[in-house]
Amino acid sequence: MRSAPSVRGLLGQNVVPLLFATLCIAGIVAAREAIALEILAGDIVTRLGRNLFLVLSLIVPVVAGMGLNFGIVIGAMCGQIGLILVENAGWSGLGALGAAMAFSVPLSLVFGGLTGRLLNRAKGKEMITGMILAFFANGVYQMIFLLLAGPVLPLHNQKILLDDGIGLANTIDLSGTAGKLDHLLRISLLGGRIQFPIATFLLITLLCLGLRWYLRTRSGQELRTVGQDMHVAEISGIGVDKVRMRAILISTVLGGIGQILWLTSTGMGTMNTYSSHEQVGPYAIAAILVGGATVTHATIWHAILGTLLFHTLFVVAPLAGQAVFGAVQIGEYFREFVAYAVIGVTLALHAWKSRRG
Amino acid sequence: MLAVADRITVLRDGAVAGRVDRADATVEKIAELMIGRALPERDLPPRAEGADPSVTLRLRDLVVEMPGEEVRGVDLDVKDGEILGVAGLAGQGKLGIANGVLGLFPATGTVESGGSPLPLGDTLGVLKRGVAFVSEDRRQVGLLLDESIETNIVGTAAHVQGRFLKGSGPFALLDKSAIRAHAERMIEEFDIRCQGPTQAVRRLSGGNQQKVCLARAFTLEPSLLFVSEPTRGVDVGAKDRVLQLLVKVNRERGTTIVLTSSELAELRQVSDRIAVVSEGRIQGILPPDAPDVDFGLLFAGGHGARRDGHGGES
Amino acid sequence: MNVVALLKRLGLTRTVLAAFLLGLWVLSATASSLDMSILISDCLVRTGMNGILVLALVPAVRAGVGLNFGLPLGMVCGLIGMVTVMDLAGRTMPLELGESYGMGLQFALLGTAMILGALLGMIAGWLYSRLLEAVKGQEMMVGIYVGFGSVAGASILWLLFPAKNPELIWPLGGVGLRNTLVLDGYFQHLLDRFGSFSFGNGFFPTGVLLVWVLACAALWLFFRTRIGAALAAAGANPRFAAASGIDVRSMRSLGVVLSTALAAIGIVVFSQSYGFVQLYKAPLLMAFPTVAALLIGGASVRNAKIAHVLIGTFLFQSVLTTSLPLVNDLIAQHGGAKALANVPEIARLIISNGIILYALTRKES
Repeated sequence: MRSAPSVRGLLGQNVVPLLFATLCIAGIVAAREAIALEILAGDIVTRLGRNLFLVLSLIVPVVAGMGLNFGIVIGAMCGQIGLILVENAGWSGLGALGAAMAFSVPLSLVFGGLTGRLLNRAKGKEMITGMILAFFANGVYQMIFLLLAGPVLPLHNQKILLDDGIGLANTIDLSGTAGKLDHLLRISLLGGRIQFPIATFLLITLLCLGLRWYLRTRSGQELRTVGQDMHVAEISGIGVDKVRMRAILISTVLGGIGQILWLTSTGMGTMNTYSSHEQVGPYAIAAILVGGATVTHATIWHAILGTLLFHTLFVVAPLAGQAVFGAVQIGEYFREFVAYAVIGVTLALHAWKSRRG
Repeated sequence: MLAVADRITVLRDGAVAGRVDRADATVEKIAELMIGRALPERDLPPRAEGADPSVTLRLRDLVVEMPGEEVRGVDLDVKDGEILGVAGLAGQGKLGIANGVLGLFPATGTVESGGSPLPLGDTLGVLKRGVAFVSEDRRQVGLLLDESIETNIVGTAAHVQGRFLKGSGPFALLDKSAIRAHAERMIEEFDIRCQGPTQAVRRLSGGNQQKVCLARAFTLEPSLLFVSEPTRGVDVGAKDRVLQLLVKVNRERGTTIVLTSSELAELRQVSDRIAVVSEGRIQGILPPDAPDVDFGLLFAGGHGARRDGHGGES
Repeated sequence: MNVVALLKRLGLTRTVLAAFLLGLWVLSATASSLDMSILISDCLVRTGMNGILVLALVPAVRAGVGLNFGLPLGMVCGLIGMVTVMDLAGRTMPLELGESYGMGLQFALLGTAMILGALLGMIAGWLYSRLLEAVKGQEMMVGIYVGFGSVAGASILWLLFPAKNPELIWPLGGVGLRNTLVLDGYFQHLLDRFGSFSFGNGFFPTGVLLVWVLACAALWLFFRTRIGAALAAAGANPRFAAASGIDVRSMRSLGVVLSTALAAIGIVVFSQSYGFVQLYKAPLLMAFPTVAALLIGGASVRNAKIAHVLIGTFLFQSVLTTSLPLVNDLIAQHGGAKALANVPEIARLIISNGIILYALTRKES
């Protein structure tokens, strides 16, 4: 058993979340005129439900030692394809939402498999490779859905196609599926100012429990071993490449489902066919890092705390910028700067630590 | 080992050199097996007889933190104009000495050359004092594999001594024609088998790569040359050629050479004296024609006999 | 020589792209209503415009730091140089509507912006190199985020920039600098037009190409000096370099400093060709196509030559420059789906990121 951690140790480990908590509180104080606390709370509950699943999907590759999965964008694309298929069929309702998820899973397995193969060729460079792969896949995605949808791919629903029937429209209305899960079961708090979507959070809780269980199974143990030392894992007879592949598959599948949840969350309901997936990676990654995760260590609590803090900052930064500098943009650029900085600093710290052993 | 083992198998160069039962085993016998018997012929050009040579390099309490080849306190005097062999088993620290003097690994102690201390840890400073080094790790340290032969040969001299440059100051350019001429001369003198001075050294055989390394070191015109494992991974014909080159430079230019090698036979072939390193220390210095047994004992850590050898031919 | 050996010598990506470009040009000349002289002229302008940015990658690759995805850091420095120069000029010698500064003054402004940008770039580059030294092995990933972070950080600077020149700030009480600053009257197309001559309806942008080629030559010569050779040795094999008495850390640092300073100069040249200074998010993703151009030229993560810069910039920029008007023209003439207009952008995404992926995952001996 560990002895009681020292105050300094605790501070050191949690310096990032503490810093962000301070920033959030400062932001809330600065923006107190602009937004009522319970509105803010309601907003953040919605955003938690919307983003948490995606952020959680990052955990498994970190445990497997593959770092932050910038390739999660691939999963997000698969999720969007699932939604496109459902919209094409004209389905709606909770069943359609389930169907979109079901469609996304095999796609995620195929494209996650390709991702895994590539990342196994780029050991030690997984993050940058995943990132560039996401850009590349974006090109392929656009090619398929701009040029082939209609003439080659059997998508016929004029509602989602461009006027001339070739290529998907830039935005697709998801009103058939949006909010369906959130509205399935929810409680109103504070006289309706906070709508707590129980069903969504139930699903997230299920995922958390599932992840916890999985990481304790034999397969999860192998994942950990590979994450700690590939060489040791190899010697102990673990198929390193296979395990890494498994990690990416899980992450991609979860990313796909997470993207569907994100797009169909209350208040969303529209998919930007060609750009909704692009920001998924950086923002989800920034969120989990804000919670205190690192390139080599990430837990469910990091994901939850990080999503909470990051999205609080996301909401209050522009308002605080308006209040303090008289310019909304300052806050907007600031939160963007923060998102980049937190990833950059984490990566730098990781590289620095791993060099010093 | 003798106290606990029933039978002893001696491995040398990755092959079984011999087996003895404990009943027959003596330290001497094992030592012989470890060394290998063949004493090579020495057919060396004579050197001019002179007064007792002075000490050109003095090491005192040299400690080098080179992983796997730690040096734990070496005292050694190298005499002007000699070829000093450094022998020892792998991992005992013989390779650490040269690397430490050249400042490639952290080192402490005193190193004096020509009466004044050499700056420890300052490779450039040491090179500027007329010391050159041919590393044991030819591919990782000794060469720029994807660069041309000529670049490899003159690169160090251009950097350290500012030679092969046209003009002076920071904007002086490398003098291509002088470099080409020098490289062609070296290729001929060292018999480097290649397609020409612009060929990438990666394409050369191990022996020819080694000659490029030596050419690079000799281009510095050093007064003291450290050469480590010059024949490792080199075919038999080229091996002799490499050793001949060392002797030639030693005799013709008076270059002092500290030759470190795992092959005692080649050290005995060309050295004036042979220092044996074990457990990070000099266990003794022997003349090249000393009996195998003496070498074997020093190799094994100097337990038993301990001789302070003085120069073989002196 | 057999075909395989020939292809290997020429480089597969280069050959394929050159053939592709040739195909595009043949198509443009025969099937489209495009004016070939204008097309070629545009290709040359775009090449000169991006050339120094691509060149800026070389010192970092040669110093062993890898592909410098942190290029936007240098670009931001160049932007600061231009904004400062424009603001000072506007304050001291305000222009009337439609007026221009004299030719000599334009060159002075351009030169000052470059020098200022390069100086800032050196300082920023030195700090950046300290960071990279601490994160050895992860330089590229950290570089990407240094680039992103500097663009986002600079955005805040643009909002707070104390500019007085009315051409730089929003006319009606907006906060901060405008998104796009018009260089008309300052040094718009100054280098493009310098010494240019026309052919057909297009023109040969002598000045900008000359500046690019001179910069390439200067760097080429640099690698033939004692320090330049030491820098290349430090990049090719740090252990060899150390054994030759080369201070590897300083050389890596120098490579990054040069790269960042060149990026600052590069964005100034880019902006004068483009005619506008683009602030805020504009430089965010600019490192990626720049890196792609170098790789298309035949460079790898560990090796980049001046020839790669020359070939890669011309091929990649020409393909981009040709494909967009060509596709639009073909659609206008022959009809076709609207979506086809996106082909050039999609091709750009796939080509540039594909080549970077290839470079990252190929096994280098």
